[in-house]
Amino acid sequence: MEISITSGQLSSKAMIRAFSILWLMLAAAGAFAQAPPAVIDEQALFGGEKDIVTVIDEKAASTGVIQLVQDTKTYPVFLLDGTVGAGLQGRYVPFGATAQDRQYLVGGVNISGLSLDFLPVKNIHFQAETSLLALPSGIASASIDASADLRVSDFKRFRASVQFRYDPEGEQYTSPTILLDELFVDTEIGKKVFFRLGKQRISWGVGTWFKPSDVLSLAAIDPDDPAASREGPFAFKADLPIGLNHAMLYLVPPLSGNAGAFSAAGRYDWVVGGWELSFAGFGRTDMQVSPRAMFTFTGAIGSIDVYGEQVLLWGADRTFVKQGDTPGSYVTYRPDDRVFLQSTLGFKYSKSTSQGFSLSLNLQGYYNGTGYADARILLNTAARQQLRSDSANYSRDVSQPGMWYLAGQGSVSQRFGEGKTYTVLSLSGYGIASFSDGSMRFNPKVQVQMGDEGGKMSLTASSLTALGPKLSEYAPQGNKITPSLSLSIRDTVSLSASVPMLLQDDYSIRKVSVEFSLYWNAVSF
Amino acid sequence: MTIKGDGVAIRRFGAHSSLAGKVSLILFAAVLVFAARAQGTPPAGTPPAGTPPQGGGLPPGFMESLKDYKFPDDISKFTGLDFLMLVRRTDIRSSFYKSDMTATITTVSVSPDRGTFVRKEQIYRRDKDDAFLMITLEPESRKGQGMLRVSNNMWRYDPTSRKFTHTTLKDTYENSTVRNNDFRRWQRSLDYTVESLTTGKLGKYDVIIGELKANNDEVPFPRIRMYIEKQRMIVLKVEEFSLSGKLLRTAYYTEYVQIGDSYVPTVQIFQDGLIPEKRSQVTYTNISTQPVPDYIFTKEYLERMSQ
Repeated sequence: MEISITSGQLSSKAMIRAFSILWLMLAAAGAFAQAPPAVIDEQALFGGEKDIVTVIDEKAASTGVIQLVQDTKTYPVFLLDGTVGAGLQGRYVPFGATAQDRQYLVGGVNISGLSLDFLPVKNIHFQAETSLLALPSGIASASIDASADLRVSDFKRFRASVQFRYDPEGEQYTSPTILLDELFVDTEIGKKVFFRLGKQRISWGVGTWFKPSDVLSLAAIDPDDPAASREGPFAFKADLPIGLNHAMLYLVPPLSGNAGAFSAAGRYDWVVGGWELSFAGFGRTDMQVSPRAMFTFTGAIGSIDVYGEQVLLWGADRTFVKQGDTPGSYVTYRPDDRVFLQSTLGFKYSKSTSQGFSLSLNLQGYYNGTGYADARILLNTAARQQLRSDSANYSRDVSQPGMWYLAGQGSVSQRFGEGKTYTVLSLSGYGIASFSDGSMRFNPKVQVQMGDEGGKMSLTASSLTALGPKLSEYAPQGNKITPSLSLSIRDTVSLSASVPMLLQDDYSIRKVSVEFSLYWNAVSF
Repeated sequence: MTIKGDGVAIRRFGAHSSLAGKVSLILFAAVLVFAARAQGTPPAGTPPAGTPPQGGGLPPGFMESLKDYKFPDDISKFTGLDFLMLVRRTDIRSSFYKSDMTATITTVSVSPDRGTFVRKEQIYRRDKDDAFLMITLEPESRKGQGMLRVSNNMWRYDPTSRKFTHTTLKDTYENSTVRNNDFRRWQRSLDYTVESLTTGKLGKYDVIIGELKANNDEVPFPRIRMYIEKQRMIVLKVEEFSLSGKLLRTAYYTEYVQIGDSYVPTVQIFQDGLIPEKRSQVTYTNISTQPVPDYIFTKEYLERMSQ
């Protein structure tokens, strides 16, 4: 891609600068008015003429709002945040290279998390966040998340959110794609019953990696990023808070032309002591998704947080495949005449001491009664082909196909030194395994951060490792190890290198590539 | 159930559809009935009408034991028990048991490596129920993030995943020198015991200085040194130490407002003990003791206020 500065771009640059100056002025006006003193002088703090106690009339406080310091905000507001850098990007395949492998060393421009917030008035908020990597050959990847939040009051608003994705060398968005993320209105009746109507993300369940009760989400959980947002359906939600308890009802209108095919889900959250218990049910009129009853809980036993989900389904909600009578043939079946159980249980623990030691653990096990006890049949391409040809929802049928799972994450960190030598060393990692097909992935990580939150320097070494046969759940490409190293100096210079290594079934090396980048994030908003 | 293969289409749901549908409807109705029956109950933690405030979450007698307590006139004659009762008085005075309390809080954090960072939060307190809600107003990119805490239940709402997390774990506040508990009522007299006392001056104020040691491991600082002004019995300064005696943080309460019997430290300065140039200032404004609607202390409100 040829990059040249045109007059239009210059004017955009000037606009950005103007916004930045405006933002700085606004930030400065707010910050310096209430900033802590540069030097703490106890005599100045407590020795002045003015008494440190101001008496406010009790009646005035109970009937109005006492503004102790000026707290006015001027609109419109423009805010810019993020970094733009330029540097080098390269890829080299020292072992196992094929003709299709691109090897290069090129210059690039990297826009990282550049966000613009625009508030013309108090209750209207437009936001856009973009990340982009541009190489001489063109856009290597681009993403934009844009939203509009138009609020009439606390409980009445319209929200629209769209996403743009383009990742020509990736797996999912090889052509520019626009996705509708959310589009809903919020309203209420008498501040007793609250409604959200439209396309919305819905996250049910209390698990981290496994959420059998998350029946309304349209996308599966990413095992490497279980907290990421996931697409939700077009739904009508009614919520009735009763103190800390909640009753809610979702109606999902037909997604296809079948006017009778709507879903309904109801849930009641009950807070008792330090526990939150949820009882829920789900049904769909055309029975394309199994009806189910759900129970989830979160609470604590001593200093350990406990969470769990139990789901009873009528029908497996999955088309299975199995070996046919003749060798090499496969048949599919769908057990829809009995009850299945899905159950998950997890524990969280965290501890930190005044000596700078921190520990956190999260462990979750999952029994998926609707999965294969031995999911290795899905490693066979002929079996998958049979399933694909017979199934109405292939992606759902191969999603989380195992019966027994275990996942966990943990981190240990220790603070050292103070002042200029302030350093935090942390060891962390996560892992997830399916015992039904023998696949697993884990990512151990070592991090050294110098300065406040690694502001001086941050060095991270990790190794995302997937082990298992090809087409398995957590190692779809087979055995693969990706050691990575990243270094950030003063949040300005960033260096990263990763060495993805594809391994054979006997763990001998099949292919090694080296991907690296060095960027100077010279512009930071 | 029908098994088919090799190009023969499988039969989908059939004979059991109606039965499954009925089961589903029964389950669904059960949930709704359960919800409807519960609708008549008062919010958790809310005492029946006419019940005097008990100070939700506090042990019995916490407030009553202070009613007739006689402090020595001469601060040099204070005993450990006197000082603990003094700390208890500051705890009680930091609370609003007869009314709700709302305020806007601006926190300006200065870090040598991270620069200046400004956050603004809206807080709602109902101390008699130990209820606390905090919603981020600024920066705009985090607007609407928040937490609800009622007694030992805490919910965080993540607008990205639209997920509530219910937890009992303690957490800090955005890695600044400020902690969530700094915005809640104090309960130092429950968490600490007095080890030694001395007197001194802080600026123009006579102060009683108490060294306290934590009696549980739930508090972030095992040892603290409190400077309490003699005349109005308000906390001016607290030094917070690690178990080994390392100074981790110093808090200065440089301005108060008094509303009835309650005192709110409206300007608080926190000095980090490990990174000398790192400090924060918390400033309160828009203070009110008007009644807060019940719906504020709900997860629903957190969700609605998020982006």
